[in-house]
Amino acid sequence: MERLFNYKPMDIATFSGGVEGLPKGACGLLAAVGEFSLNALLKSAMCLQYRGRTGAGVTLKGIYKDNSFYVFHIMYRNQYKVAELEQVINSWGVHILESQDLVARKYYYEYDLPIIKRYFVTPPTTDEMMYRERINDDYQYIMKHVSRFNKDFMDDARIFSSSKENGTFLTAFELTDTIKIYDLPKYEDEYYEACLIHLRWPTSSGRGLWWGPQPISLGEIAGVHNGHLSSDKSNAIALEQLGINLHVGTDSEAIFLQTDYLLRKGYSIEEIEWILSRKFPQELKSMDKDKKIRYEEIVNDPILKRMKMSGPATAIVLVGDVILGFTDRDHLRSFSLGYNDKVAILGSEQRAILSAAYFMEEELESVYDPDAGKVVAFKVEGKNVKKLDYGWKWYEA
Amino acid sequence: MKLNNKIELRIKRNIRYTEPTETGIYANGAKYWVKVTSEEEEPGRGCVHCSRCVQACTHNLKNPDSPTGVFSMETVYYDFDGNRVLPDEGDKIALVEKILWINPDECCNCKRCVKMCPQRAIKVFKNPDYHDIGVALSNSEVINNCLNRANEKSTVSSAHLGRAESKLNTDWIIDAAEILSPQRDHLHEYAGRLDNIHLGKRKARYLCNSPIFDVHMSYGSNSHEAFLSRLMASIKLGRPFFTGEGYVHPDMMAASRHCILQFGSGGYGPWLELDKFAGISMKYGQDAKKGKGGHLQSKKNDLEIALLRCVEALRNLTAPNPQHLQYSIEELPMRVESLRALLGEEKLIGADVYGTAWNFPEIAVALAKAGFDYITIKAGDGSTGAAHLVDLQNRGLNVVYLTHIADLALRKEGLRENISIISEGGVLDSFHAFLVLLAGADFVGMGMRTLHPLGCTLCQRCHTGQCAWGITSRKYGSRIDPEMGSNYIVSMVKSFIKDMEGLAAGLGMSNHSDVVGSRRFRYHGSDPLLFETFGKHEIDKQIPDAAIKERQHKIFKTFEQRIYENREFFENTLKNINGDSLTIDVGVDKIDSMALNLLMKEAVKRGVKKFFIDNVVGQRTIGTGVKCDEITVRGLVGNHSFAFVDNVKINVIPNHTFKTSIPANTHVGVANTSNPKEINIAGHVSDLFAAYAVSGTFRVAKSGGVRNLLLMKAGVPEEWRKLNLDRYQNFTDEEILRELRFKYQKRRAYLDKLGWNKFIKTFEEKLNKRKPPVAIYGLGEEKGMGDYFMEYAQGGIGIVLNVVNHEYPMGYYICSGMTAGAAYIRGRIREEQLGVGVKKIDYLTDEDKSFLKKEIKDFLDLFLFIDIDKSYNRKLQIFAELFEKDPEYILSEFCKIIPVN
Ligand code: SF4
Ligand code: SF4
Ligand code: SF4
Repeated sequence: MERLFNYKPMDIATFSGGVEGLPKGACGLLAAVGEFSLNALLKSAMCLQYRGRTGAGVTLKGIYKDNSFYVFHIMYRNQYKVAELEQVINSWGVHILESQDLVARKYYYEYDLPIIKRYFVTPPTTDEMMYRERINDDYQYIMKHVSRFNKDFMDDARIFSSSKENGTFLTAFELTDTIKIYDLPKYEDEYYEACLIHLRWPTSSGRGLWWGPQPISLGEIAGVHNGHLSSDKSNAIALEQLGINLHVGTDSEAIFLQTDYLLRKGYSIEEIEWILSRKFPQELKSMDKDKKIRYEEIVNDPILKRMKMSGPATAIVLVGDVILGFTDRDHLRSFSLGYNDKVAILGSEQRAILSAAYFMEEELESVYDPDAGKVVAFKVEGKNVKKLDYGWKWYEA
Repeated sequence: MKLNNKIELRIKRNIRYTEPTETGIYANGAKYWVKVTSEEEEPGRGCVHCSRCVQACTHNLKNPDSPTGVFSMETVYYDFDGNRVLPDEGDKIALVEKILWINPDECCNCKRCVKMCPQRAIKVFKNPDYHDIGVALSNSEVINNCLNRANEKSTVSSAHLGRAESKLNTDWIIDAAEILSPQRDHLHEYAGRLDNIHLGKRKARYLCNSPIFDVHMSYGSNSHEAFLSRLMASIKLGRPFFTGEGYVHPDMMAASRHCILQFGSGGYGPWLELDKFAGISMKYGQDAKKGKGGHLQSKKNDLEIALLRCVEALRNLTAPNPQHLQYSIEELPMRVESLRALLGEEKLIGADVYGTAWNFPEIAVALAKAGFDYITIKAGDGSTGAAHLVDLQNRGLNVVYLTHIADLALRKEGLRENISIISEGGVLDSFHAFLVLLAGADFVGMGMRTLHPLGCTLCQRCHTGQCAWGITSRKYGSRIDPEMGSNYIVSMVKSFIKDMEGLAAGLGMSNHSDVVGSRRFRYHGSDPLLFETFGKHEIDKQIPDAAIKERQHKIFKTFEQRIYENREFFENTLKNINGDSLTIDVGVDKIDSMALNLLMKEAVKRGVKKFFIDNVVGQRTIGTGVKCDEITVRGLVGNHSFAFVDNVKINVIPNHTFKTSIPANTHVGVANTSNPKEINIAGHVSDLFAAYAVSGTFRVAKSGGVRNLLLMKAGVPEEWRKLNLDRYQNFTDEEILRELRFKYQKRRAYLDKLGWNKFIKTFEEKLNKRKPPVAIYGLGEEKGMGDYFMEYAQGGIGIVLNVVNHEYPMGYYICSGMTAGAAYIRGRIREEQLGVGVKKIDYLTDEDKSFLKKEIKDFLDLFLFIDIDKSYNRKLQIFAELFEKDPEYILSEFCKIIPVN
C-alpha cells in the first residue's frame, strides 16, 4: 500500500518530456512481416536492448483487422484529464463505441505510468464531416483531428495509436517492461502480419519521457528510426509547405510522414530512395540516361529537395501494407535484412535477425546488410509477404 | 684567418634591412617590426654583432629550408683601399664589416631573439603599416584576411586567436567568509587543501595531488623535449599525464602508468602494451576547431614520428572529423564496453568533448550513462596546434558556464558521483581555475599555460614546425632542458595551487569537496551565461528528486556482478578445460557479451591458450583483452569483437548445425585497432572492419561493408616487441624520473653527435623493416565492397579478389584520402569511383604479382576447405581452378590504387 500513498500524478514536464524530452534518435530497431511468431521476435529483440535505454515500443499490424472502426490508444497525464479529453474527442462528431483500460491495474503500482486507455471509435457520417471540415474521407478526417489533439493537449495526453488495424504500445521503460505492462504475449496466437519494435536511447534526461518512445504512429503509418538527422529542419519545412503537420515534432516523424506522402503520391520505391537517401554525384555518371533525367527532375524539385535524410539514419516505416527499410547514403548506422518466402525480418543488427530466425526455426534464404542508401521494401497481405521491386508504385498495386 | 698584426684592424658594425622583394597591394609588409639598436643610438645597449639572434630566430615561412630566419650575419672584408677581399687573404685585410641583416617580414613576434640578445638591443613591435588600415568595422584583420586569401596564402594558424578579452577577468565578487563562518588560514593550518583528489569515481581511480592538470598535446605536435618536460612535471606534481593522440615514445614508457593515452580520430600508434597505461581518453572533439579532426603536416611527420604513429613518413596525416567507431550516443556504451574489455575496471576511460550550445547537458549525461570515468570539457578560448582561421574564429562557450550545466545535468541524473569532470579552455590563471572548480569541475586543465614556462609567447606559429623556443618544432627541441623545463612548470602550477588554496581558505573551506560545485562567488557583469552560473542570489543547494535509480542500471554492473550472475555457466564451462584448450558453447543466447569476455579471461588465468567458441550469435567484444594464441568462433560475430587483439590467430566459421544456418558474418567495427597474427572470416564483414588495424593478416571470404580498413596503418616497429616494461612495474616515481633522464641523456648525446638530420635518418631502417598489414577479400554474390574502402589508409595493403566476378566490385570514394599503402582490385572501376587524392594503375609490376600470388594462394588454401554456402563454395572452386591453370590471367584483371603524391 505504501506505493499508493506515494502516488503523485506525473508532472507535465515528465509526461510530455518537455522541450528536452523530444527524442533525438539512436536506438535498436527490429521488424518482421509475414507469418512469424511474435514471442520469438520479442525474445530476439532483447539482444538489442544494449543499444537502447529507457523507452520502448511495439506496433502490431493486423490485430484490429476486420474492424470498421478506428482504435485509439491514448495516454493521459492523470485520471482527472480523462473525462475532460474524452469530451474533446466526442466533440469531433465521432462516436466512442467502447473504452477499455489497456494496462492492468497492478502495473500502476509498480511503474510510474500515465493512464493508458483504448477506445473503439466510429467516424462521423460523410455529411457531418463535410459540414464540419469539408473533408469527405474519414481517414483524413480522423488523422487531422488526432494530429491536432496531440498538438493541442501535448501536456496532458497523447493518442499514440489511431489505426484501423494496427496497435502501438509504448512505455518509457525497457522492452521487457513494455512487454509486461501491455501483456503482449497474449497476442501470440491472434492475428498479426507485421511487427515493429523499437528500443530507445533517449539523448535527454531520461525519465518518463512519454513522448519519446517509438514506433511513432499516426493512422496507418508507423515507423521506427535510429539516428539523428542534421536535415531535421529542412525536412520539417518541406512537410510544412505541403500542409502536413508533425505532431510529435521529431526528425524521425518527418521521415515517416515523408514516406507516406511519397508513396501516396505514386513515387516508385527507387524514386523514394533517390529522394530520401540521394546518390553521390559521382554515381550519376554511370546512370542510365532516362533515369538520370528523371532523377534530376525529382531531386531538384524545391520541396522534394528538402526531404533528404542527412546524417545517421536507419528507419523502418510501415505504411498500410507496405514496409520500407532505409539507411542514409553514408551508412552511419547499421541495417540488416533476412527473408524467405514466409517472413522478412529487418533490423539494426544481423544478430537480432538470425536469433529471431533461430527462435522461429526458420531457415532464411538470404541474410545481408543492404548497401548504403538502398531502400528495401516488402508488401504483406493476409500474412503473405512479397519483396517489392524497385519500380513498384503504390497505386498500381 | 691569419691577420697581419702590422696593420691595425678596424671593425665596422652595420645593421641593415633586407630589401623588400615586392611592391603593390599584396606586399602588405611585416606584421611585426624588428628594430635593432646600434651602439650610437643607445650606448651600452647597442648591438655587438654576437649573432645570438641569428641563431635564435628560426622563423622563415617564405624559405622554410633556409638556415636562418629573420636575422643573418654577414662579414665583409676590405683591404686598406676599401676593396673587398676574401676572408683568407689575411694579409690584406684592413677593415672587417659586420652586417646584421634583418628581414622583418618573417617576424612572428615570438620574442626569442629579444630574450636571447645579451644587449637587449632588439625591439619587436607591431608594424603600423600592417595594422593601421581600415576602419573599426573593416579593420586590418578583415582587409588582410581578404588579401591573404586573394593571394592564395595558407589560412592555417595555431595556438588561439585571442581576439577578445577573457570574460572571466572582470565583475566578480569574492564571496569570502566572515563571522558566520570564519575565514581559514591555508598557510599555517589544514585549510583550503586541494590535494588528495581522485580522478575517476568508480573502480578506476588515479590519486592526484593537484587540481590543475595539463591537457592532451601529442608527441609530434610537441617536440621530444617539450613533451618530456610536461610528462616529468606531471609526475612531479602527482597528476596523470595526457598524451594527446600521438602515443608515447618508447623512451618514456617507464612512465606509462602515469600516462592516459588519447584515442583521436586518427588512432595513431602501435596500440600495444595497453595494460601498462593509466587509461585511455576518447577524443570526440576539441573546442579550438569544433567539428574538425587533427591534421599533422607532412613536414612534421618525420621518420621518428611516423615510426611511433605507425604510419608512412613525410605524408600529411589527416585525422577524420568524427570518431568512426561510434557515430552517436547509442554507440558510446559499445565503445566503453570494448575499452573496458581491453583495459579492465581499474583503468580510466575518459571522453574529451567540446561544449555544444543546444544539447550539452544531454551529452554529459549520455557519456556518464555510457560508463566513462571522466569527461574532459574542452571549452571556448582553447588552443590548437593547427587549424584553419575560420575554425579558430569560433570562440566557443565559456568554460565556467559549460562546467556548470554539465555538473547540474549529472546531478539531476544522480550520476555526478560516478564520473569526474575536467574542464579546460581559456583558463588563464589561478583565479579562473578556481572559478571553474566552484562551477562544478573536479579538475581544471591548463594547456597553453604549461607551455609558457617552456618559452611559449603565443606567436601562433606552432603549425609551421619553426617554433623558435623548440616547443612545437622537433628540430629545435634541444633548446629545452627537460629537467629545468619540468621544474619551471612545477613551480608555476604549485604557485597557482597555493593561490587557489588561499581563496578556498578565505571562503572558510577546508578541502576540495567543499569547493567543487559550491558556486560561492558572485558575478555582477553583463554576460548572461556567467550570470546564470554565478549571478543569482542564493543558489538552490539541491536539485529536487535526483534520479538516483539510473546508477543501478546495468551499465554500471561490475565484473564481479556479471561473473556472479553467470556463475553456473562459468563453472560448467571452466570444468571442461582440456590442457590449454577450452570449448565454450554460447548456445545462441545463454551468455552475453561482457560475461563471455570475462569468461575467456578467467580461462586464460587457468592456462587456456586456445578457444573454440561455439553457437555464437552476435556476441560483442569477443577476444578483446584476452591474452591467448588462438580463437575459433562458430557463428555470427558481434560488434567490436577482436578489437585491439594482439598476436592471436582467429578463425570465424559458419554454423550449419541448426535448422537456421548462422553465417560466419561479423557486425560493425570488428578487428579494429588490432595486431592479430591473422584473422580469417568465412563470411561477410560489416562496416569499419579492421579500421585502424596496425599489423597482421586479415582474410574475408566474402565482402565488406562501408569504410573497411579505414586508417589502416603501416605496421608495428620491432622495437615495440622488444620492450621490457615489467621491470618498471615497481619503480617509485623517483626511479621513473631517473630512468626518463637517463634515456634522454643517451638520446641527447647521440643527437648532439649526429646533428638533427642524420639523427632522424637513423630511423629509416626501422621504418623499412616494418611489415604492413594486409587484408584480402573474396567478395560474395550478395553485394560488393561498400563505399570508402581504405579511406585515409596510411600504409596497409588491401586486396579484393572478386571471386564471384562482379563487374564493378567496389563502391564509391575508393581509398579516399589514403596517404600510403595500396589497394589491388580485380574487376572494373570507373574513374569517378576513385576517392580524393588517389590514382588507378592498370598494370602490375613483377613484385606486385608475386606478392599477390602468395596472398591468393594462402586465401585459397584456407577457404577452399570451409563449407561457407553452396553457391559461394562453387564459385570459389571455379576461381581456384582458374587461378591454378592460369594465374597470369587472373592477375591481369587486377588494377592497383595508390596515393597520388
Ligand atoms: S643578439 Fe643582440 S647583440 Fe647579438 S647580434 Fe643580435 S642584436 Fe646584436
Ligand atoms: S621575435 Fe621571433 S620571429 Fe621575430 S625576429 Fe625575434 S626570434 Fe625571429
Ligand atoms: S608553441 Fe612555439 S610556435 Fe607555438 S605559439 Fe608558442 S612559441 Fe609560438
